[in-house]
Amino acid sequence: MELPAQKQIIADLKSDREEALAKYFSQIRGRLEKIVKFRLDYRLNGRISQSDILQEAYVRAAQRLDGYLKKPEMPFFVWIRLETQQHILDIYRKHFEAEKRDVRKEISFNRPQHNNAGQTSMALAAHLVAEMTSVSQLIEKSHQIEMLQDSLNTMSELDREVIALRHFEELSNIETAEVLGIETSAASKRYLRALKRLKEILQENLSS
Amino acid sequence: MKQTQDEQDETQTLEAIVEQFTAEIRAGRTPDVQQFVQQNPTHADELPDLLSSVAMIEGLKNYSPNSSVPDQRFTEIDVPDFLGEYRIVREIGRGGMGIVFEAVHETLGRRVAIKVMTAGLISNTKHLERFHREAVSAASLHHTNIASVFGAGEDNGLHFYVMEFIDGQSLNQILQGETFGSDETINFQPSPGSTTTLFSDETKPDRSRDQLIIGDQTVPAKNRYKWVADTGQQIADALSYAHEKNILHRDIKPANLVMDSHGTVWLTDFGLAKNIVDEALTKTGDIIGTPQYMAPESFSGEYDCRSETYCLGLTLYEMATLQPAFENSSPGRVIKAVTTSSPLAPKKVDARLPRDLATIIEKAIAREPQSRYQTAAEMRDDLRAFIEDRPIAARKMSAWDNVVRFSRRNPLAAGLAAFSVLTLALLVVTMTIGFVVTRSALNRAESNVDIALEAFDQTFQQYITQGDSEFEGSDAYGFAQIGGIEKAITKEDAQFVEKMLGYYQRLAIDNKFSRDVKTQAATANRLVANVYRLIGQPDQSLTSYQEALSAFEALATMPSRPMDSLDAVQLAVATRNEMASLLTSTGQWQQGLQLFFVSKEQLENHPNFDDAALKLKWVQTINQITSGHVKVIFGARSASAQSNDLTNDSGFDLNAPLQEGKLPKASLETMLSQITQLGRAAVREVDLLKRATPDEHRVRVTRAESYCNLALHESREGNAESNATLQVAIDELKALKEFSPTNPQYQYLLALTQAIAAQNQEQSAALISLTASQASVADLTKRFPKMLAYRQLYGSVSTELGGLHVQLENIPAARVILGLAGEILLQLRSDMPQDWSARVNGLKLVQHLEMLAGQQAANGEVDDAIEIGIQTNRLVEGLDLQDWDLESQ
Repeated sequence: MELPAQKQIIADLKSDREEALAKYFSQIRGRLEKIVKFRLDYRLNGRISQSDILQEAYVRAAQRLDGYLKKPEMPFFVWIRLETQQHILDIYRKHFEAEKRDVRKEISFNRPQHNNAGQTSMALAAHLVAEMTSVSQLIEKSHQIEMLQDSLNTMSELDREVIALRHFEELSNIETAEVLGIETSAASKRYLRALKRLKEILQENLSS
Repeated sequence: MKQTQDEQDETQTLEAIVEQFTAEIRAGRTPDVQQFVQQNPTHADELPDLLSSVAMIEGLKNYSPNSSVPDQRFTEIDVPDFLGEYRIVREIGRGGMGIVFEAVHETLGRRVAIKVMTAGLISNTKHLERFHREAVSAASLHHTNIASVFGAGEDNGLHFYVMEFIDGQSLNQILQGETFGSDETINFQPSPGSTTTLFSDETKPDRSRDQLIIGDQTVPAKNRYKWVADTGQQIADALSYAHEKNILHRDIKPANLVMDSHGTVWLTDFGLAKNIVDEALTKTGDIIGTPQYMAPESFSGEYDCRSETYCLGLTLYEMATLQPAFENSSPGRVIKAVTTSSPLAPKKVDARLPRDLATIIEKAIAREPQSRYQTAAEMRDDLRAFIEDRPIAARKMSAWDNVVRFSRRNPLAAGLAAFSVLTLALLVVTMTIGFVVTRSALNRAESNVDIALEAFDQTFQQYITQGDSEFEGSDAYGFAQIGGIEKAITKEDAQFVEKMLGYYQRLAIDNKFSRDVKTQAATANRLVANVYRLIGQPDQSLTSYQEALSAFEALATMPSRPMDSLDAVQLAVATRNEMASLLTSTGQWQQGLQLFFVSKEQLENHPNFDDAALKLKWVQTINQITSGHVKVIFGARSASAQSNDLTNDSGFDLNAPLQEGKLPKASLETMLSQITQLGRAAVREVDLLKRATPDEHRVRVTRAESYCNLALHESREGNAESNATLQVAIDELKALKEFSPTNPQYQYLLALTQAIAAQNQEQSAALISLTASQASVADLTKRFPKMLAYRQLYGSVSTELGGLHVQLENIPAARVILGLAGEILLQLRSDMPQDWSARVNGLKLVQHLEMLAGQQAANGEVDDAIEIGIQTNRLVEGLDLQDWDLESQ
């Protein structure tokens, strides 16, 4: 279901508060599930239910609704996505907190960030394997997946992230631009360039 | 960055085309790249690259046109409060196949686990059919370590099945509790300036952590190994049970093993279980599993019970070392690792891992199914043996095995190996010894010694088992086996063996290692002794036997695990008996006999004398005593009849001073009747053994020997039972021979029975028996020219046959065969100067020749009689019979 215009959403959120938040949240739930599935570390798969994560992400968003409404520059979907991602980060922190020296940077609310791009590749692998139900399929594709991973690894973080956003989170170009904090045309250009670069690397890998 | 308007437009157009292309794929169609290019000719340069990238990524995402809704598997299941009669209490966990809930049967109050299958899995009738079949087959399993399946059901389109609820933690949770929360890091963001790839640099868990936490109990490392073995034997037992019912679990991994609060482990989730015989549903491509815990062959669609023991092995590996055998990395890498590499040796991950447990795990996870435990029961038995400190059946993966494996995978090396197995083995040994020697000042790692010992060992195994699997698994170092090898040992081989001996003896002397190495060193000495004996050097042979024997004796009395001691006793007896038989065959037969009696008493006095293995050894020892006199009977009977010294009242005295080369100053008859009694006792015991294990090959051969030897003694005593006794041996041997027609041991024993049969037969029948026997044993000596026992029998049977021809006055035949007998005996004498049987048979032969000369003289063939006389004299000289003759007259 398509969301209404950003202005409408903001207006509804201001008047109906959580009721509106719940309504719009449920409209983008399907897309959020994709993101959760993609971003959730493979090691946590099966330990935490996706619906729990979304539930908690919703609670988190509700708590921060005021903050968002004060400065609603980010489109609603992008904001919720960010809150969801932030929540996933919290889960990691909880599960892997023994790793003290890795004081992970708080993701700035306003600053578009793509510095978890490392995670992107990992998520990609886990995501792809999770999709496959049969081993024959897995074998058939494992080589390609491996090549894709290798290729993505040799790309710049930003290029890699663009591809992840466009193809694994299935974000639109506009949303991608918002997440990355760049112009839509720049996002588009990056995306196309990344695709082209990917093809080149794949070919290089193939011939080597 | 400033962009021109043209560029912007261009980008937008391309973006739109790519988006459209992506949307088509996501809608489940397969858009054609070429078609898109044709429709947008202005971008023909760039589009193919862009679109094929998109096609690849999206294609990998599994939007296959066949599965309409790709994400079904992971969509949430809205589970109602009730499923059938079960009230849902809580979610327990979830996996690839579905979500598991704790539930309660409303009327019965029974607590169960319900697994709700994700919708996508049962999207067609085939899946549904399989699902129900699985439930039915799984429900037929009742085992203390298998979570019972109560049934399957459907409610509101949700397919579920109901299992026994096990209150506990999965091994996965237990193991993860170990690795999570400690130092396994997630590379959440690359460290600044880091250019490392993200997939290859998995952080290694810290192995200093020792404890596992199960429930609220902590298992320290030293107890962990027993715990691992105990858990493993429970599951192996469960698997063995399921396999007997033709049910495979198909997804053995830590997550499917649940440990309850009593320490009982439960195999859960026979959700993937498929009937082995249910071929219709078992098609390649439908195998579902977890790559990290899958056997290599399952990637090519093969799966059997050996794949399950493999998966159990992987699980035990992880439990024992606290590290998964294969890292859970990207699917491609996991599959590649599983199918092309072997995990790091568990002992390398955890040096404290007991060797036997490591061996069991390594055997279970061998890459090739034929190298693994062939059944779960075998694996269970070994795990139990480990727990009870008994020796395990699995052999440590040897360096040689690795060489063979390596060769199999590398054609070039394989060619080399086929070209010269021996050279390769020698190379391994030489290199290893070189390594050991250069490091002699340092502490020598036992493993280095192992490699050398095993390469040596395996080289002989190559000889010993060559062409005849019958020898496999029996006493591989026994003289009979080495002497009986298909391939005759040539001069070159002897040189090779001697070269190896040098290295081996050095190891045997130098290394004061653990019990295992000591056993190996003793075995090495025994092997050395047998090889010396084989190449005709009895003195060196005796020295090595003596060394091996004292080493085995020491091991037998060394405080240790009872089974080790039992093994050592058997080896000591085997070695002593070989030594005794060497002594007997070289004329020191009284000493030899004494040694046989020492073995006999050692076995009788052993606390475990009731053990079947010891009983069998005892019977074999008696057989040696009874058969040791096969030669006495054939050779010495006639001689003894003429001997004055042999009639003596003192009886047979084992402790009497020994006089080499002399017949005993004891009553031969008393001694022989004692031996006949022993033979009867042996027959009784071996019959009991056969009743317990009717198909055991070693028992059957031993039994044939026992009967054969007893028949010989009965025949000598003129006992009418002799023929019946002999028939038992013949029947057993014929049955064995049918099973393995070329086995030399059967042929030898059959030839012996024919020779014995001839003793009781009238002349014409005896002629047939002896002729057949002689032909058969002639063939054996041709095939195994070095085999002493065969040559001795050849000599005595030929002497007997020649003598019979003399009696029948078949002069030409008598001349030919007695001539042949003379050659055989002279050759034996020259190869084995101390071989006593040649001289004993020589005495008989001389008598036959003298009789023949007399016949010819009477026939007026004086020239011929003189020629025979010259022949006789040469024999007397060659066999050094003057002394004997004088003494026994």
